Amino acid sequence: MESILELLSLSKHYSTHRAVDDVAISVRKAEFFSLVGPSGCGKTTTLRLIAGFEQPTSGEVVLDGQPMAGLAPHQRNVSMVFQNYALFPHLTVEENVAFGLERRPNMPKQQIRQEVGEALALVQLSGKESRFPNQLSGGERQRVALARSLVLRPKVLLLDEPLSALDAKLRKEMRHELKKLQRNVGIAFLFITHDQEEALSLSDRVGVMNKGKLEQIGTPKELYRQPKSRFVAEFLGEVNWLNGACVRPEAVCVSRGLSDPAARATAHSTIGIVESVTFLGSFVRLEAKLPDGSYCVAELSQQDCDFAAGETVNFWWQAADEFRLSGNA
Amino acid sequence: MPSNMRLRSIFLAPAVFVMIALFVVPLLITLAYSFLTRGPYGGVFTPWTFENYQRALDPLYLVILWRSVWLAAVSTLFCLILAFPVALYIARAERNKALLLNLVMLPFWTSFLIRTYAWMFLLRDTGLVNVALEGLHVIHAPIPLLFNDGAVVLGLVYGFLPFMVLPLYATLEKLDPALLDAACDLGATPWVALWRVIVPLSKPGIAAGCVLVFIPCLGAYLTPDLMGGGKTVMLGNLVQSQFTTARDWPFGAAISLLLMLIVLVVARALEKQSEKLL
Repeated sequence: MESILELLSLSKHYSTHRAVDDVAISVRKAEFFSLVGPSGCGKTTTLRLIAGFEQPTSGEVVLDGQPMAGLAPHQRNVSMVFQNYALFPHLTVEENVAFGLERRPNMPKQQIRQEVGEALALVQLSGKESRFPNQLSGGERQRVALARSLVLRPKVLLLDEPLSALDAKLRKEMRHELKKLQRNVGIAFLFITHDQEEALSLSDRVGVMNKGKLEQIGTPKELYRQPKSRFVAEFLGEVNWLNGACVRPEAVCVSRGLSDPAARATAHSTIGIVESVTFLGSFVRLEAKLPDGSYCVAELSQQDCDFAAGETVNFWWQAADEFRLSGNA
Repeated sequence: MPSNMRLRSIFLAPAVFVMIALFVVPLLITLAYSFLTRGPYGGVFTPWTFENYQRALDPLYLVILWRSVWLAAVSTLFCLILAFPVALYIARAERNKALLLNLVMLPFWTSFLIRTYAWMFLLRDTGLVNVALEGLHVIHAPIPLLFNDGAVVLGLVYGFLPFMVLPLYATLEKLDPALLDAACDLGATPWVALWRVIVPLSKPGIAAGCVLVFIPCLGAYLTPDLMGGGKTVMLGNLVQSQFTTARDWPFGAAISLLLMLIVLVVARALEKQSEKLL
């Protein structure tokens, strides 16, 4: 598939550390691509290199076949949604969204009005044109920021943790909407987050970053099921290390003895003593100590769990659910 | 009376006393003087009259009033133009902010009078500037740099520049740097971003700086007296001459109060400007 944005061994070195180190990514047309990693892993710097706010130490940003070296931010056909939205507080919603179009030479006022109207309709903000940013809710501000960027029809939309400023409930709603919006407009989104759940649920493909380096790129499923490194495995979710293999907590089953025929059929099992059982709403989290001193965590549905602390239980899992790290495990 | 109320009154009393004794009372005395008649050898006498205010509107004095407003306005504008880049630079500096701010305030460590004399030594006919230009054969006779309106503006701009830098810095420092990034990202050149985003958002600082510079400039006395060449250049000098050489206290009092009135009107107008944004 054709790529719209390519990062060719992109690096940004500061005197004290390497913020971005030899990162190569190819974002495809109309793709939702996420960069995920802990804070300080270099994902925001990568975004700023693409937008042109920072200059790379080495490597190149290529946008739709054009090298971006030497181009200032205002000359690049990408647009960014900032973490705190960076809406202009002295301008109304309409003026904020029109700001980019007004910078284009020979754009008739009539056309600007129309396109701003369409962009606001797209993010369901029609009727709020004359509000100022401080008169809007967090979710509405987020939509203004999206409209302000999308109205310019950028080749790639860069999103710098746009959901992190929202409260938990709104964040889940906006997540869904963001995905729908991206499908609607068909513009490639490069989305940055430190929230692995966000990255996995939204993206077509995800890149995991750590200490300036890109650890792995793949579809959410690939990354979750076949992580190449311990960092990727543990960053994307909890992992049990059982007999040298890795198993996700939700793939672990628990039973008393091996009377269960399904349990007997599986090759992989171990015993452990239950340490704690925690009720977490939709599921129950069970922690147990294994004979070798390590711990095993299982996430069970309510009905499957009538175990108590101190009980000796069997853990078993399907061979297909376990994975081994190829690299530096 | 609750004890904390009493404590408050005790701490407030000295300040209230100072304000009443040294500000309110003299102001009331000035107000009373402005409606009285001058005596043959100075001093004030009855009858009460509006004549002093009528006289202040005489074209002779309106010229001075106009020149005061004009010189103060020009000085304020120059201060704004010079201070904005400085304030922006300090606000965006990654380190040494405190050092740079201290450098802005460094002139305050020396008496304003001494610094004004220093300017006179630089600008007079046999001063450094003229001597250097003659030595370089750029000019053949000294050019009049001192004792004119230009020298007064120079002195005022020099003296009040820090009062413009500081409020501008305070506003610019609080601006989210992402706003400038966002403007550039949306296709604005750095200049357009500055003009359309940074300048409008720093209006409160601009208004505060203009108040802090325009008001003392309007009432300036020392600078126009020394650098303006002893002529009656601005309102401050007019007031001074009325109380001293002319021995016309009522008229001097009337002009003082008119000056205060202008200041109040201007300050209120600029305040409204900054309130709109806050």
